[in-house]
Amino acid sequence: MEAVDRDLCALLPWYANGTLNEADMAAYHRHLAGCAVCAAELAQTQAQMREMQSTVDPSLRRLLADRDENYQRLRHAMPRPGRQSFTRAALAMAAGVLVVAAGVAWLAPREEAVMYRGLTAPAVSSDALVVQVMFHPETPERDIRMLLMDTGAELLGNPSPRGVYRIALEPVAEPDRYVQRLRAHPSIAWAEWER
Amino acid sequence: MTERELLERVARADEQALEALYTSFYPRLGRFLLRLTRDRGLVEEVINDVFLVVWQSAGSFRGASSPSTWIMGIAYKKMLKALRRERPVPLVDSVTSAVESQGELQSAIASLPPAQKAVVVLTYEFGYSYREIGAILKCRENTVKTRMFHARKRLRAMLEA
Repeated sequence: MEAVDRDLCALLPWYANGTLNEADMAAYHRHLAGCAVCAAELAQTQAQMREMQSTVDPSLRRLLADRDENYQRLRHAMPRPGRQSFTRAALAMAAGVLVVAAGVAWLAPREEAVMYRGLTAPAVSSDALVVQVMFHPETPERDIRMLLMDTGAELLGNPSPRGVYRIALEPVAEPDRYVQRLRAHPSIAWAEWER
Repeated sequence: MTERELLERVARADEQALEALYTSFYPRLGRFLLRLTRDRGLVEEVINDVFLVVWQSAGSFRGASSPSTWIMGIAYKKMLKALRRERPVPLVDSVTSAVESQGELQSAIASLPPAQKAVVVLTYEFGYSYREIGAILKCRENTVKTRMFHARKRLRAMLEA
């Protein structure tokens, strides 16, 4: 096998995950048409990627359950050089945050009444927590996939024309608190659970 | 608010921004680090070490890479350092039992050396490009490709055996 061919064969995993730049992508595409080895391995590699992305390690679930406790541990360990406990400036800032939060709540898209149902939506168990979510428009597809993977959420059908996704999660004790956490995620513009 | 904006706020000692960033990255880091060790306690420790660095060094983040690449890079470095301390793995969460409960592919990946495992996991599971992986692992792009080549060769051998 020529050295150039070997270099191109090496790109297969990143062709399979869709992250090659335009030039690499075009070169690999041409190579793929004539390389029997790559052609045989591509489908297998993509299947392996799907398997890895869909597997949720039980240790991860336990780790996620400990998140708040771990954050408190971090807070205690954090050095706070030259910071005062609660100054007038901090109070003013907190008031500002409240005003902004109230504004955001007022301006947030109100799709609660129009619950989206995808035609191809899979069946959901009756005790599942179903949440409607809108991502910030600039959120890459990979981040959306990552978030779903991280939370163990199942995507229910396609998004609505306005970009509202319906996701199903395992039942949680405090859905309000859970949804609040989702709202705090930087990629999420809006989230509401279906009561 | 984007990850970059949150990081800018953390640089100004904004604890709310740090918490939002922590909430956002915790599952991702957990998933990544649990591929490198089965010791959940160690993973929790490393995640908090990572965020101590973020808290103290967010101001030095110059934006040459994405916040995600920067934070994952800190996590990888911290985990390698922790693994070098050769902390004994707890019996309850032992490598053997965890690997036995996984599928063939997961077991094969678990047995790769950490540097090769990281390349495979970041590509297959997290969907990073080889350039981003080079930035995370602090190595050249060709090194990433070479590690991937050797990892895939090993995986093929293990899965066909």
